[in-house]
Amino acid sequence: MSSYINIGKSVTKVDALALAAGVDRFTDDFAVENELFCALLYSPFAHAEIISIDTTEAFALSGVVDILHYRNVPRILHTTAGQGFPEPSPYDSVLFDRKVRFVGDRVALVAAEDADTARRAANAIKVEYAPLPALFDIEEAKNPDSPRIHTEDEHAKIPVTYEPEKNLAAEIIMSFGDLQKGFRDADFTEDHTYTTQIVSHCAIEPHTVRAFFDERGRLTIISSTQVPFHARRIVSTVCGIPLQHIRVIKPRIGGGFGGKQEVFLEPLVALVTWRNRRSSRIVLSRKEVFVSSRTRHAMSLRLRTGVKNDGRITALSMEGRLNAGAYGTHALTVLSNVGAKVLPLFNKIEHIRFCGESVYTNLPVGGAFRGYGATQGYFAFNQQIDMIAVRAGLDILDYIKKWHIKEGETSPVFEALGEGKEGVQQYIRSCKLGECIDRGAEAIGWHEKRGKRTKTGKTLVRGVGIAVAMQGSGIPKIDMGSASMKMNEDGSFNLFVGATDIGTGSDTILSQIAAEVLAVPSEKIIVLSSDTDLTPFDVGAYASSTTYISGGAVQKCARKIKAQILEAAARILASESAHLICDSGIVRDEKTGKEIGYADIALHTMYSDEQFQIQAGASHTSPVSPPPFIAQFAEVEVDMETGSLKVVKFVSAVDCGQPINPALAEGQIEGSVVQGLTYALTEDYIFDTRGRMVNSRFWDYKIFTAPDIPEMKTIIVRSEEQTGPFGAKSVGEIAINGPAPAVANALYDAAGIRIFDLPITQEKVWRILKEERHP
Amino acid sequence: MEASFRINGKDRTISFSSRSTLLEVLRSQGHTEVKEGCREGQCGSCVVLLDGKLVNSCQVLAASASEKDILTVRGLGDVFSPHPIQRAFAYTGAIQCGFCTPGMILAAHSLLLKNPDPDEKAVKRALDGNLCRCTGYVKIVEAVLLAARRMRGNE
Amino acid sequence: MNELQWYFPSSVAESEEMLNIPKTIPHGGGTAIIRSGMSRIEGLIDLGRLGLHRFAEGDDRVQIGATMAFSDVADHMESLDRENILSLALSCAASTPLRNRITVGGSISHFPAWSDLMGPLIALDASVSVVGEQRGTFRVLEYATNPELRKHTLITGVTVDTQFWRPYYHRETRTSFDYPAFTVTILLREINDRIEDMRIVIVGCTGKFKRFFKIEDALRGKRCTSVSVEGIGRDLDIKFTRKKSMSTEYLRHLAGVRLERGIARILRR
Repeated sequence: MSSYINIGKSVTKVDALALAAGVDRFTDDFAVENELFCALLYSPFAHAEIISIDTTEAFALSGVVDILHYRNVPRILHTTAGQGFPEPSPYDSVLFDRKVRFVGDRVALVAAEDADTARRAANAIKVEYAPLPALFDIEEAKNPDSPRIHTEDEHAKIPVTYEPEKNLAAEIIMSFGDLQKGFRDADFTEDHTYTTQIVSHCAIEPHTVRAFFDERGRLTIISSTQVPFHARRIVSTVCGIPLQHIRVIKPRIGGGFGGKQEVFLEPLVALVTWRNRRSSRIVLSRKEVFVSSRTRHAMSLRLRTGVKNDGRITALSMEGRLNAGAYGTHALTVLSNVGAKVLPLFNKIEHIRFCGESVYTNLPVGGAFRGYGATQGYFAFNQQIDMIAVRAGLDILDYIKKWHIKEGETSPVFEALGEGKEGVQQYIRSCKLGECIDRGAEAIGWHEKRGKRTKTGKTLVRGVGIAVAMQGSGIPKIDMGSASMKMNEDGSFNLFVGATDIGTGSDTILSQIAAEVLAVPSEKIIVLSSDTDLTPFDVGAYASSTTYISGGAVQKCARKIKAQILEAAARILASESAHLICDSGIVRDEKTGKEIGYADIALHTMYSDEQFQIQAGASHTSPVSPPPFIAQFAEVEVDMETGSLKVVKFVSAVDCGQPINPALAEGQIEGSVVQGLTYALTEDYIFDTRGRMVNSRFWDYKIFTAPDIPEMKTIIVRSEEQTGPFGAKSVGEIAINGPAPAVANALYDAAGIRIFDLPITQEKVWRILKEERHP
Repeated sequence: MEASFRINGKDRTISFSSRSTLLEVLRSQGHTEVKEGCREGQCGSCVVLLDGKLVNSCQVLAASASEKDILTVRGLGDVFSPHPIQRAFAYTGAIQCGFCTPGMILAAHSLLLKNPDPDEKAVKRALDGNLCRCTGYVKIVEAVLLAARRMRGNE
Repeated sequence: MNELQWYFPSSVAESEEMLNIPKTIPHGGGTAIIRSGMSRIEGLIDLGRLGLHRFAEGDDRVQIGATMAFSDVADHMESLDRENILSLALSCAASTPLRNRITVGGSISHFPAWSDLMGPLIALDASVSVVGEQRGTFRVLEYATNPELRKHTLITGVTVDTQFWRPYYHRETRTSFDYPAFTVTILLREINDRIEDMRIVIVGCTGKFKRFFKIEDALRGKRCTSVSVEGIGRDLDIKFTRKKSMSTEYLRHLAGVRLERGIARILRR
């Protein structure tokens, strides 16, 4: 790691100016002729059978071209989860069903000449429902008396526990050692149940899909998707359209955060276009995004820890129940991650049991959401260890530093918990969590503030709290990315990647990686991404895989290009390849001093003799998923009279290996933190007694704007991950895990009260303070 | 109905439905830089300057904006000659997905027209109607302060 | 939906005639109209050309035209007097782009429970000028509570006293850009350390607003530096209907705390 020319540099994003100029295109921005607008009709009932659908009145409206519903579309069970095939999520969804399973479930789709007509026609469809009893409580889901939500031919594609007759969408049981013994050995036990709420990704761009035929009659889909290749495969299967006739393009996307790692609109629009030979479009309204797209799974997690007086945890039992909602997309894998990303962090616990269930309810559907189970799990874990440290009279920072997993160590959990299948054993090769803790503590002023309950006003008191986390970098042995490159005669390169830039800047950092291998500035790389016709395969943007996996593919591919450049140069210079190096776009013979520029090499190989195109392709997977680590600190101010809680300062110190682009890495952290803070404090789905969400607008679903953010500091701690491109790991998800528990721990430090359920609203704080004063 | 609007300095006569919002009219005319994020005046990705005032175009009925001056982010600069605010946003890493960016840049522009030397608090205040889910606002605020300094000739 | 009929009158008199057209209402900024849905409206009378976008200073009063936006009013009032209740309240209402569009007239005629304008106007005992089926100048309180005054009428302006009041304003929100669960407006006139006059209004409770005459009376005439404020907000005589994110019990407690703190703050305690 001498001095890089691209790696570790905050290069401006390749699309930044075009976005600032308002010209780069998002899915809704393309001009397509003669387009049909699609509008969906949704169920007003949480659980009902459809007795009849009468579309006469709807079709009578001028401009209505097609109406899709369960009677006229193929019934192909599938999962909408954007995952590799065969997907670990149950096959429990169809395009339109005879049954509706939550308020907001789809009933029909109207395609019309304009948006207004489509919506009016949707409202004119007469549906007769036979309501069924509905299930909203995850504690009741498995009761034999509870309504059964999936009762037909739903099934799991891979051999995992799937028992819809018990409303069980997924189950995981994992244990090591002897839990009873572990608890017997303990001096004390902490036993607490934590609950987290349903929240929405709130990507500012709503889900949007376009479909049209190109000149040759191939179906082209432009979609705001994180998973273009999975989308192509699922559209083909579900709509019965041969895959080779489908092209999926991801243009600029206005945020995803997991909410667009889902293929639930593309098949509809594709089918409309396919059936009617007309281009078509759907744009979800904000309300539809809230209710009828995907959410973060709500969870109830019971954590029991047996602890010795010196702080050693002798036994840990984690019992989790995930609210899958009406469909089981990501229900197994998010559940699995609750254990898989949390339990290895304290890897010296001898007796562990993780027992998790995902249950169906008649509520909006949970899916992929940044953090992916780790967020829910760490809310519990970080409060639990804070309580243990308090009870054992230990300094929490020292406690974490003592017990967390270190370089060279492993945990049996890595192998036991995969994403639905078995996991993969791995050893930690890079971990600077200790340094993250020290530097973060200093930045927040930990030692001056902790335990002091500093008063800043008559009723105002402050405290600080810490949370730590690890995540992953891709799914080991499962995620795959590819890249291809070619060289142009001016010494520039085209880089084609399947990898999906959803605002993260992956186009940019992947060009930085390629450029570094080729010893040129990153401006010499022209990136084209996420087009199933033009770019090679990539699983897509999820599991924090892009830098580590897709970057690995780019690095491999660039090395092949470099080898071809050197071989050609050796021929042209009549040099020995062992003496040749690449430096600043030139190949130099270190022995003779002869040199030749890249442009000349390309011109020669393209036109002179033994002509060939310098080009290559490569794919990459990894047998390991090296975790990034983070320590996050919150300083809060509590008003003891009103319960209102303000986050004054927030510090994140992260070890993501070698950051390829520090500004972009910071951007991921800062965005994750603010998203995590509103998860902690203000976001929630409020339902009426019939299961209808009543706050499905930004008007009363609150996230922060600029005046709300605390003072924030981001520290990147360097480590070297040998298995990652130039030592990189990942950074896309991890920072969303800390804010909620750090704030909860800071609240305890300030006011001596604990909140076990999210969000931490000022009324909740007030009630507990009130009870403490007048029990 | 038909009315004329001055969009980024050009007079246009446009036919539109009497119930259309200014957002709908602008997008239908190819001004895709004005984004739709919520249709309730809460996300700010649709803001334009209307007769010099920052407004949510989804909350303005197009008919009431006739004969008026409308500025979108494309009226500030393009990729060949970007406005200093656009440059500063690109430079500081204030742009991730870019969906909120046109609105943010116009909100910044509106602020700097009135107050060329704002402090951090004033910048945040000026952006209080623009949602961003990607950046956490940190680098956006930095970008506005940087643009202000550069435009004052201090950097 | 059928076409909306737009009217662009160029005089107040012309607009008055239009007020009787069925399903036709005045349009200022349009934010409230778009919010509440336009499916039942068939006509809009755009007020943009009526010259109601004006701000006139007189002796001890200002006349604010009905189509002035919140931000304009806040700016004008601030230039008259840095610390006044209208600029305090209106400069933090909603968001920057919405403040540029919400009009004074529109806000008074719709009087939403989350209004940032009505608390100050009620406290200031402002008056509205109205034309149409009813004509004249009415106290804003009367306008807000008498539905007859709101039928087929148009607000042309608001008149506000500008004699000095020390202001206090609080809006109870979850985030910076949020509609308030309630607002607290307090005005104080102090002479030689005595409370000469005080106005206390909460907007957002049951009945939309409440003015605390009893507390005002109890405090009037007392010494600013020595009057006891402790407990004044406890068991506040106010009711709330449940909001989505806060219970009635909590809202009542919170309103009491904010009111008490506001009084203490305004008395410089």
